[in-house]
Amino acid sequence: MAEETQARVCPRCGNPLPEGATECPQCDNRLALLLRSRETVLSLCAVILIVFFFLTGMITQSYHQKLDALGSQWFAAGQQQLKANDASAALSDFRNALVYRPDDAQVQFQLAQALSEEGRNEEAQSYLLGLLAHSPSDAPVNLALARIAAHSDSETDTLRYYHGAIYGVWPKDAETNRLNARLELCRFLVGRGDPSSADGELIALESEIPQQHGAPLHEQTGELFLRAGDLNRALEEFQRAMEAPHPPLGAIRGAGLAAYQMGDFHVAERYLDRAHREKRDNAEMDAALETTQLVLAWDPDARDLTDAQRRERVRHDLAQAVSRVQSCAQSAGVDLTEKTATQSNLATLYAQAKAMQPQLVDRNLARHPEQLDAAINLVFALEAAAQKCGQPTGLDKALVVLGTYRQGRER
Amino acid sequence: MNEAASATPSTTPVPASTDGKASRQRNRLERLWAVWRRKALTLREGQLFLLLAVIIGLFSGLIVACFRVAIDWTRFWLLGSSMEPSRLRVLLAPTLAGFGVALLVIYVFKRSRGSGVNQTKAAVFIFDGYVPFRTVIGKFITCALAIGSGQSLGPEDPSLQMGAGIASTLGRGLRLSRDKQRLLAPIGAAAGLAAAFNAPISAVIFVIEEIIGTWSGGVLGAVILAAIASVVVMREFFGSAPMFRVPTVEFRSPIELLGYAVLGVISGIASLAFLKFIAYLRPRLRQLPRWTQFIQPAAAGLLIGVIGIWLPQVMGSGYPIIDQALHDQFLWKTLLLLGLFKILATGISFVSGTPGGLFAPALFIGAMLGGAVGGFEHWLMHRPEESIAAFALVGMGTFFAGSLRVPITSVFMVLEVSGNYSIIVPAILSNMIAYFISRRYQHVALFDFLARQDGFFLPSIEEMREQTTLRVEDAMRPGNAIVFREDKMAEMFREAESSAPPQLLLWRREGGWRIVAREDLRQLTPAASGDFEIPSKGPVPQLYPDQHLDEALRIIGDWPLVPVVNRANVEKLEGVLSLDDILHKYRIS
Repeated sequence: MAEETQARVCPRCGNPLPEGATECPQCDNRLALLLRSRETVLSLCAVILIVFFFLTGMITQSYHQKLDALGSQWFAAGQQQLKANDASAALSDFRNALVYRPDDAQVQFQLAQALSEEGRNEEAQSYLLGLLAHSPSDAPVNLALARIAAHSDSETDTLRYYHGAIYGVWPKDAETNRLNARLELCRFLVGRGDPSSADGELIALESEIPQQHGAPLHEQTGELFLRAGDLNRALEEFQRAMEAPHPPLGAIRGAGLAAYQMGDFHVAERYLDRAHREKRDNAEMDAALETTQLVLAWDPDARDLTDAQRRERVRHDLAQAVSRVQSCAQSAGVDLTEKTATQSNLATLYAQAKAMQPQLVDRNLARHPEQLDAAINLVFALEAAAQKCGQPTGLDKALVVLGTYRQGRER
Repeated sequence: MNEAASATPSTTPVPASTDGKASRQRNRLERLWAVWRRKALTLREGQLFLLLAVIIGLFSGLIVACFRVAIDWTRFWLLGSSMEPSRLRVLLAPTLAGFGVALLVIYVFKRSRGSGVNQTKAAVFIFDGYVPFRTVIGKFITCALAIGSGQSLGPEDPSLQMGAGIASTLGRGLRLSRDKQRLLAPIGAAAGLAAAFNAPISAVIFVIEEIIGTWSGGVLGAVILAAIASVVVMREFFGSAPMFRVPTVEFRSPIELLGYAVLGVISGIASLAFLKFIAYLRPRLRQLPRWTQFIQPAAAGLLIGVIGIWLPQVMGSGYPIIDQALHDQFLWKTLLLLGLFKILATGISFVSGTPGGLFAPALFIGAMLGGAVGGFEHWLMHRPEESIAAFALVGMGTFFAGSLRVPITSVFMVLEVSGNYSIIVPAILSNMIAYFISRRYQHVALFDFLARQDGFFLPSIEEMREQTTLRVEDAMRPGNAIVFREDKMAEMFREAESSAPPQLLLWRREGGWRIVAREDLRQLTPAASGDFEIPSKGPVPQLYPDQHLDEALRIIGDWPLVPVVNRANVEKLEGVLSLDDILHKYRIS
């Protein structure tokens, strides 16, 4: 049996011989003979492995280079589109860039900017929050998030992100960027009608404005103080802006308006007149200037008036107020001559004015100087009552303004 | 050594010609070389097997690296580098490539069809581990073309089959035994999958969970070696960064588990829909006339192109999109839409017979659904700033567990990919819910029903996993034998008189357990018992209650009865076991 088995097996390779064959077909094949040894096959594998390794290395190197190139190419294209104000096209380019450079924060940030410009704030926020999680002190990311939060009316988040932008890390121009971020925050707070918070931020902003080249910033800060109702600081900021060799027109106008609102009509007239001479097409400024000039012309409480001049102004102002009430009553259909228990306030004041007018003669006023004050108060009361017929203009407006400041002073 | 010693030159002068001396010298050197070669270079089978595992891993890593590059180059060539290609490209590329793939699969690479997992399983269980090298080439070319052109398929399953093919080729080249060759295919599969995933642990567990089915100690070491070798190669060329850049995720409070449970339910339903879609459509398409097989991949490509016009993200493997989803770059509504359309696109691609894997699409769908659930939850709870990464990550594993029915792999994959163990509880909860829903309403697992549709009746690993192991304690009978002890002979005889069993067990301090026939015992007189030599057979092999019943079947041999004893005290009889007991237990189980 053993001999039979040996006879049917190739003595060289050990494989069974086909029936009737005298030589092993596998051993006849020279390649098969060579590959018969495991050592040979393993050596061959090692050689192939080395060659394959180097080939793969070359292929993958070229692949990585291609990916890098594509990433840069799409990013550059996106930036160009963004510059050309085509946020939609930029969006697509940045998305492509992100596929090839997934870890690049710059690409993600630009993509978020493009999304934000497209009004897709929610998506932009996702990217920015991802960046923020990675780098919480990144000031540009905080600023972008603050802008999105400001749109979504989330005051807490907006304040948090703006403060993140103000106190965070800027890659360059840190001082300027921080100032701008704070300025933006102040605008947000003023816009929301939160003067107390705004005032705090504005005071901080005021202290950070650099000495040189700060005129535009002083002007903007003054505007914000003005809108927040802090008139003194507004005037100071405008005046600082005006210290520049070429003061901005806005600062002069702002100073005039601040002084006007403060009731300092002499200062107001000076600034508003200067601004008017430099630029004539500002309706608000022109109206303020006109009112200021009328106030200065017909203010009965002006300091440098003689008694005669004062009496003259009171009589003139009362006549103007009576006239305003008459035209108001005519337009409103109010009968000023009605004498009933339920007669209107307008009619009552009108009756008082009509009764007072004859008494405002010099001889009577010399004996009863207190009547002059009563007449002035009546003028302001008449103008205030007549406001229900519409906004006053000209001298009527000047009298209303005067009345308001007088009340303020008395308070 | 003996040969070396014998080769030592003799001091006695030998008259010989110069040629003869040279010939002897040469023979001596040849013998020395043969001895040295045998000792230094010849490897034992076990050592060779481990070395081969490393070589397989290295080769698999290299080929998968090239495969990954090939897919991307194909994509650049056919669809361009933009993520939103032009409409013409989106429609034409997958359609024409689908037609090309069909021609290649029908005429050139006939075994390249399918994902590759079942083909590898068939190689292990049917073809003795044989995977032709032609299949490796075919899989490489057809899958690169299909995935690169935008078909909604992934590269992992083909990588798995390519690894198995390389292993099989090397095994054949080294003329390994059939048993070893059968073991090589899973080793290559693990290497290929590990390289494709860049996650060796998940790959090893998947191969054990789905391909081999058992934790065989003989192959585990080689599988791990191959997987690590392939990952090392991949990391050499693509860096050590994981497949997905997973942001820091954390599990904050147990209340969040509710969200993850919902994710499990949704993923379970989605994976069920995916499985039903494939199970319904695939056999129907295969029954269509043969000529339709030429156009089925092209038609699938066209449909995917139509979807791709609006949602180009569903095309291809979708890895960059998963990465973007993990970084909160989509809204939850978009994520939901992408998840649903990816189910459709993947189903269409797969049933058309286009070669390509299901791993990447499963991960994509899971990530999108997970992200959508997370985003919705945050929207509902007014926490829009919170990341959905944790949900997307858990979702990846959840859909994977539900659709491919590999719950252990899916949990490990989530952990390995994220490198974060804090989400293990949500991952397990979500995965188990999805798995049970899928299991409850789709009894046969995806790979099993695909194999049956192809005419292979491969062992169901899922069923194997859940089979109850029968042990000796399940079949033994307690108290049906009388135990004789030499120190209590009087009692022994009394019991023997009244006992029914024909055989009795006898314990002897020297000689262990023996069998005594009751008839033999009755012939002895009780008075003389102390000095009698009791006729008995033995020693009888002993069993322990925890031993497997099939092991007991081998041990029991021709013995009518064997004792089952306590491992801590072999004198203590726990029960007895006969062949009938074993057969009865197998019959009723």
